[in-house]
Amino acid sequence: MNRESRVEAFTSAYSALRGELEKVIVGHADIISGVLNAMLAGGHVLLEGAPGLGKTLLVRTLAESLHLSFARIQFTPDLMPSDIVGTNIMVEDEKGGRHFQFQSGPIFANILLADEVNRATPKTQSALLEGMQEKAVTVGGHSRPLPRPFFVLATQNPIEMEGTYPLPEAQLDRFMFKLKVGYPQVEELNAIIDRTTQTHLPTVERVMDEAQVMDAQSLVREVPIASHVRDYATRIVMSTHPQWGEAPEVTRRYVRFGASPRAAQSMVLGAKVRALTSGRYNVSVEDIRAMAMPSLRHRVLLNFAAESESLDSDAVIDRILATVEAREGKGVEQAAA
Amino acid sequence: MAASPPELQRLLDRVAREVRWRRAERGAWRGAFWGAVIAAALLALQAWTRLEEAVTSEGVRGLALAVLLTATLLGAVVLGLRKVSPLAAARIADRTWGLHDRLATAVEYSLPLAGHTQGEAQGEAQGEAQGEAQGEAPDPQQTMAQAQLADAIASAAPLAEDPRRILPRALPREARWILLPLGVFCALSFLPPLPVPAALMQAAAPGKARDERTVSLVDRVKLLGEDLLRRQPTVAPEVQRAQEQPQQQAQNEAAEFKDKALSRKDVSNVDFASFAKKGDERLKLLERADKLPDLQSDFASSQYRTMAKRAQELAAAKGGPMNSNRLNQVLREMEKMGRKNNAEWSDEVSQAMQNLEDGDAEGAMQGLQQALGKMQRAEDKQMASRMLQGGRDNGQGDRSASGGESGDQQRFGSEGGYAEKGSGGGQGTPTARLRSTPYDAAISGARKGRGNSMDTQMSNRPGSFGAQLQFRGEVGQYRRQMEDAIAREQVPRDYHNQIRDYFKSLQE
Repeated sequence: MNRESRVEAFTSAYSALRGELEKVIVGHADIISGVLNAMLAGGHVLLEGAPGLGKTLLVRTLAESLHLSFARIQFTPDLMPSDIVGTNIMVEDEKGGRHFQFQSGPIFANILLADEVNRATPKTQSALLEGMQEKAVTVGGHSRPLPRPFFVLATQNPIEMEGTYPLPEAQLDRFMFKLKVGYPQVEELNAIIDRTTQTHLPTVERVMDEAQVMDAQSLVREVPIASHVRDYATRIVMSTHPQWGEAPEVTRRYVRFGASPRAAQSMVLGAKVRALTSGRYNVSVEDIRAMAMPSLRHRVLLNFAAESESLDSDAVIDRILATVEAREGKGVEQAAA
Repeated sequence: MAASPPELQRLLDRVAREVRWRRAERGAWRGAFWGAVIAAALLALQAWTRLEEAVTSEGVRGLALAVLLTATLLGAVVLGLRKVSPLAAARIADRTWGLHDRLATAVEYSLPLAGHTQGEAQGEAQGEAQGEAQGEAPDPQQTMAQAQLADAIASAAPLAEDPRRILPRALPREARWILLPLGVFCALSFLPPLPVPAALMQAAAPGKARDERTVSLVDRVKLLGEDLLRRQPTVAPEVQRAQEQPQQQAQNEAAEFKDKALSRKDVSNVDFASFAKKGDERLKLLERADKLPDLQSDFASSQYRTMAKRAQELAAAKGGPMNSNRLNQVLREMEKMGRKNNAEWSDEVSQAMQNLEDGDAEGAMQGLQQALGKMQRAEDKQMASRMLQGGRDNGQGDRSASGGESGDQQRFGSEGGYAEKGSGGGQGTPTARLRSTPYDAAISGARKGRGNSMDTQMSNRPGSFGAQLQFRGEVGQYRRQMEDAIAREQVPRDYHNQIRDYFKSLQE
């Protein structure tokens, strides 16, 4: 199969997958795109939104539309790390001998839904760390690889903060995207009511299997990116660092810590998926810009000045992007003049 | 694979050519602007410095025109020949045609392949064939780059049919202002010179016979300036008045400080607003430190010193052509002064003027010296009477003796010696004059019944009033600082009235 046919297969599979998700999920087009982008890029997603907006339903539908194993963990304050990664238990064999046998936890699945991840203690949350980054967990001194593809979708509720444990920066950084699930529009809400309160519920077909997902993930990494586009992503990430010499004024005023290099990786990988799904073989500046917000919003830590002015990370990143965009445009104009 | 790097190269060449054309246009505009500036400067220089004596007018005009054209051409050539890299051309085309960086990516990933030599390419082809035969997969990045190249060329080819769409024609900043230097250039080189009167021409070039009956506009302006300079002596009185204005202003400012009408206790108590207004005016004057009046010189100056100084100047410049005129002027002033005040030196002045009319300048100077001597004696006498008698009881006599002393000087000088205030304050019986000025001190009393007891009252002790003056001065400074602080919003708004009331109570 040559490149063109592989890209065509990728595009058609993506469209089919998206179609299946849209059978169940009404609206939230950008959330669906973000989740699929992250999955095809091999990253993880943190979904943030109020209860009842369809976060869990989205992930469950995604699992149903793929020939992949799916596990769900409802995070609670008394959840232990071994409840996630598994543990060694004593078993007795036929001959009466006893030995330890590893009982795998729910993390050993292709798609893992970590529901209300901020309700567990940091100790339990950190049990996900190794699995998300290394695609392997270590139990009893043995490193055990996780099945491929491995895709974590975590949800959290931004309203009920009492009795929760905000995710530490190290764990936040391991999520490729943070997507904010907003309230549906009036028409969308009507459609949700129609779909969910009737006897005939939409059924989802499986459109991709494990091999197809892995092939898509490898194809994504082959997409070329021009140096000026890569530089653009780098400049965006560096512009979030207040100590950088060319950092914009908004960064110096409101940002405490900038984004990590993982942010740049996330942006570029997400942009590659976006380019392929748009029918292009290369990454453009627009792809990078589209991926900047979900890649940066959970990695940029704001200072007290921003909080006192009721600025959230989205507003600050918007201003940073505007500054970098202006510089980019000026560079092309100088080349033309 | 339909597309190949040479196709991309051809496409980019067309784009680069169009970019260079646009650059050449901009360069031409810029060159024309600066060329016009230089050409106009050349023509202006020629007009002002009479370059035509060395070079003919047509020659300078031709030189300016050549500069204009050369700069235009130079700008176009320099910018037009600047190299446009393939990547820059690709980025410009991507941006213009909305190709989402297809061409730029293709340039980076595909053109290096085209740079290989034929031998290398054949070697690589053989290697790939061997690799495929051995079951090795081709480099996925490279195959993706080839697909990307084909996509880029397929997307750009229809748009590249009209490369003029790549860069919109935009005028540089200099083009908006080019009419200004061009207008000057045309005016200086092509407009006919303006006619001027022959007298003006002769004045402009004395001793040189000019054949031309006309001069250019610049010449005319220059001649006009020279003519004005020549007429300066006729307007000397006006200039002198203009020069005297600062002196008059300084005197007014001095009067502002000398005016103590509001410092009288009865007045200040009645009208505080007037007092504050006067104080503000003085403070404003104090802020203008460079224009403060010279109070000391006002005290020290006198008519005698003024006239003596002028006499010294005359003696120092004796023998010059202007001496008799200036001496006559001084004598006339002294005569006027003497006539006004019925002074003793009028006779000497009249005699000196008579001598001057007879042509005896030496005799006139001697008469002047004698008049000055009398004037000095009169002023000494007046000063002595002030010092010894306070100028109170003999105020009227002094006034008649001091002659032309100005009102300000008179009032200020009398204050310095516990003197009268106003026209009626210094006259009459001492009891009536009591408390007429804040400087008077007295003890008034009245017998109580037929006994020996007396009701006494001390009024207006000078010492205490002096302390009060100092106090008021200090308070005024602090009050000004307070107003500044309030104006700079260093004080919360709720406290403004409270603070102002506090300072007002201090003033009262």
